[in-house]
Amino acid sequence: MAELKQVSFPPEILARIAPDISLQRHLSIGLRPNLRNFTEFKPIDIASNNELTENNNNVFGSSVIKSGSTTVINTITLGVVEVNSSTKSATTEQLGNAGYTTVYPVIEIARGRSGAPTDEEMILSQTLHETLLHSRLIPKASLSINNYGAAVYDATLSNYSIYYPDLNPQEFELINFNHSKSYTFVLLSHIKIFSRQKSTSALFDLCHLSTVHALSRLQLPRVYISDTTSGTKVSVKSRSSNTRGLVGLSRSNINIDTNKELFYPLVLNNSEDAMVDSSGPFDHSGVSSNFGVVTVADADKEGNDEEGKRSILLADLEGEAEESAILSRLSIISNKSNTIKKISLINGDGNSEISLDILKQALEIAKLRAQQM
Amino acid sequence: MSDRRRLIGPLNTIIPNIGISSNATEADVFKGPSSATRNEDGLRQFFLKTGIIENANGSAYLEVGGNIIQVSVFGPRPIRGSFVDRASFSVECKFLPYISQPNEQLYNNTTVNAGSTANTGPTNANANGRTGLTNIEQKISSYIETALLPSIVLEKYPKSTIDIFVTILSTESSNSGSTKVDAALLGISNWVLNCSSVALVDSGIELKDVVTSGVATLKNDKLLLDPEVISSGEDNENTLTCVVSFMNLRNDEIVGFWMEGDQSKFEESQVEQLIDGCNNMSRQVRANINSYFTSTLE
Amino acid sequence: MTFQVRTSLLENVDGSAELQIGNTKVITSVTGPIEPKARQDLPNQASLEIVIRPAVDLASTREKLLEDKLRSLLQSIIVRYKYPRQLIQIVVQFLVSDTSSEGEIDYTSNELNAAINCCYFALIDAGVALSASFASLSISLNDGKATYNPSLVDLNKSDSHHVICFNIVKGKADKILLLESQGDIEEEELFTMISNAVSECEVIHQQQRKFIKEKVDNDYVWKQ
Repeated sequence: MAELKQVSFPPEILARIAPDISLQRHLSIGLRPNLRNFTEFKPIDIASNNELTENNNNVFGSSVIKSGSTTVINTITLGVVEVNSSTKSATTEQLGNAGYTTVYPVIEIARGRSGAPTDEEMILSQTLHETLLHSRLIPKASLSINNYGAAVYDATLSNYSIYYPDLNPQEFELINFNHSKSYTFVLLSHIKIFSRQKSTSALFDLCHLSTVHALSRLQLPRVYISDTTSGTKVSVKSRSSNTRGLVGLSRSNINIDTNKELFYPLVLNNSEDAMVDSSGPFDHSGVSSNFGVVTVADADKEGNDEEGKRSILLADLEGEAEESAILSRLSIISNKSNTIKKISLINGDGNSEISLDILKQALEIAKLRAQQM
Repeated sequence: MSDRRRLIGPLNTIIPNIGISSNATEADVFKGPSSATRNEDGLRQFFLKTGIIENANGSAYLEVGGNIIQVSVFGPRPIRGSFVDRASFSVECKFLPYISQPNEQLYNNTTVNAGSTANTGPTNANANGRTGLTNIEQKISSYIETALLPSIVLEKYPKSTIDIFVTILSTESSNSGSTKVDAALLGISNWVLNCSSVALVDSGIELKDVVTSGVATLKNDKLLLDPEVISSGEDNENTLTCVVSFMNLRNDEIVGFWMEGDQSKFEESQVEQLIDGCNNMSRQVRANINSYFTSTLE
Repeated sequence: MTFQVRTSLLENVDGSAELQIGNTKVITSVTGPIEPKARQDLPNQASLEIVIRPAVDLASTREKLLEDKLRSLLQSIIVRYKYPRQLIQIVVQFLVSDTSSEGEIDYTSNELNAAINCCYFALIDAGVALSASFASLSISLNDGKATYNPSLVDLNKSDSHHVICFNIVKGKADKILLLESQGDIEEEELFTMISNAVSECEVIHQQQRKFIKEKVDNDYVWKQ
């Protein structure tokens, strides 16, 4: 008869085959697999240079953020959409929540395979889109294009000159220009994530931070219309075209003036009553923090209930063990003036409950973190 | 048509063209960092780092002049299907969506709006949502694949695949949108190849040799190694540019050769000059890569 | 706060329910446990396939997000260990929902709330094992005043909007299963809202009990 021998695994192997056991063992001795404290967040570095915006004339805001080995590169480009002139006249207060708009993000996680966006990428993009909308960060009025100009060909000088109604009023009046359409900008953001190690909720935190940071550095250009008599170019779609999916974005005669002196910053909805010394970009939007709750079963410890279990709140989930074993999750966006902008709570585990006390504790930690950013 | 899996903006979004500057004094200046220091052999200094991408088997990051390149190597990874006695190898090179690609006027068919005098436009209108590669990305990917293929011992990895993913974060291409192929496209291909070789070494995949590459320009009989992108308006007549890749320790075997120029005929001696120049540069690069690896392994 | 519900409407599935609450009408079908596809197979639990289709237009990333939220809720409340290596398919189709016109913003809280409540009835109709009953509420807060099942107009004026779902044990709300809040919320406001929501959810549960008792009586009428 064969004897059963006990098999033991080195820690890294155990983390992969039995992540929940690995996690329990770490927690019972007061450690996490990634060796952080229970409520410690991974440090985040935000790059201060603006190279992507400066080197590319179709990128108007950008941000590079690094946390551990994960790097998030965010570029914001602009689209233009025609608006109904009647809605433009209402003020932000009159429109209520409808007076705010958001960013349209496309998130790409570099994972060694190319193809359509995964569910995770879609969910991250949509969450970011909705969160920025409901946090009332970008008023629609900030994106409206007032005073767009016209390009006029000067035959004597053989070049185009651009005239704006507010900057060059006399020349502008001489142009026979149909100024009736109203336009507004659309913010399109592309986020590329390299070397992701984190959980989806932690990635959301990074993407949120990255987008708010890029928005705070966004500079909007002036826009001018070129004349329509310059001939239309009709593009013929060839069979070898690789433009699958989106083809229909029309080019029209709307152009961006690359004159950097005329660029103006995007006016975000910064609440004036944020009484802090240095007003940063995260004053209104808040900073996103993610948590998980797990139950550790260990006997003879104070603070346990009769069954010998205690709930532990872990901040900033990272790593395979935490990601797969922790099903009760919490994502909080809190800003400097102690307002909560968003909560996403899911109690996914019958054993680990996110009680109201734990929620309070998490809110405290999120608040402190927002104040430190 | 709209993409159901991405958020690409409201349905009637127009992507505006990048026009001219209303400030008449602002010339069409080449944007980019000023030239990096060069050593006596004419090679620019470059910054190299490996092992930065945790979920790839090998990775490398290279910065030279205004070019920033990141390469990840995934493999050997198992493939499904019937048994194959050697690994399959693929290279995919992508620019960040909004970065203007060199010579995009010529190859990517980005249209010029006749109403604006500047000939640049953003890359493909659907840049935010495309999954295919643009023509330029195809060209670079194809060159890298051809050059690296002879160096990998594919027979050691049956029923597997080795994939290289290149992301170009920044280039030096001038914004003049000239229709002549200038040094930008060949230059970036050169550095992408060097970076990919380093990433392959980092991944631990068996190689016959490390492929290195050099790029040179012959203009009016004057040879210039690692040419920096010249700003627009510069006369490109009588110029031959070529990138040649070698396996230095295997008798300088040439694994890749790409030459562009606008001369209707050229001499054999010119080609020889260029190849020798590129060889010199590739040896320099190899020396630097060797010293990088020996210093990091300590 | 009152809702109208009907069950057992669809013939080719194991369970179905149609729920109307406020301006939102949704129909949910549950099929399972059935044979999973190879990639969906889990060795010791049931796998869930959740599909959400909007009232108008095609499904997009918006519905993907709703699916994710619904999935994380149902993953914990369905006793999945009872059906290892099986699949439970849940399809949620919105028939009527608040459509925002041009210039207005899109709120998904009412839809999420309707989907959760409708899934409850559909799962019971299908006979899928649940660890507890659950009920959800859609709330909007305006200056501290709470409106339950807010209309689009209410939402547009609100400071914040929430969806909260409790599980019900022995007729009492036990713990929060899901909480989605967006907007500007103060901490005290939040906890007041949660404690008020507890009693509201218990009222909803009483309605759930009443409906289910009638349904079971009807279903087993032949036994009398």
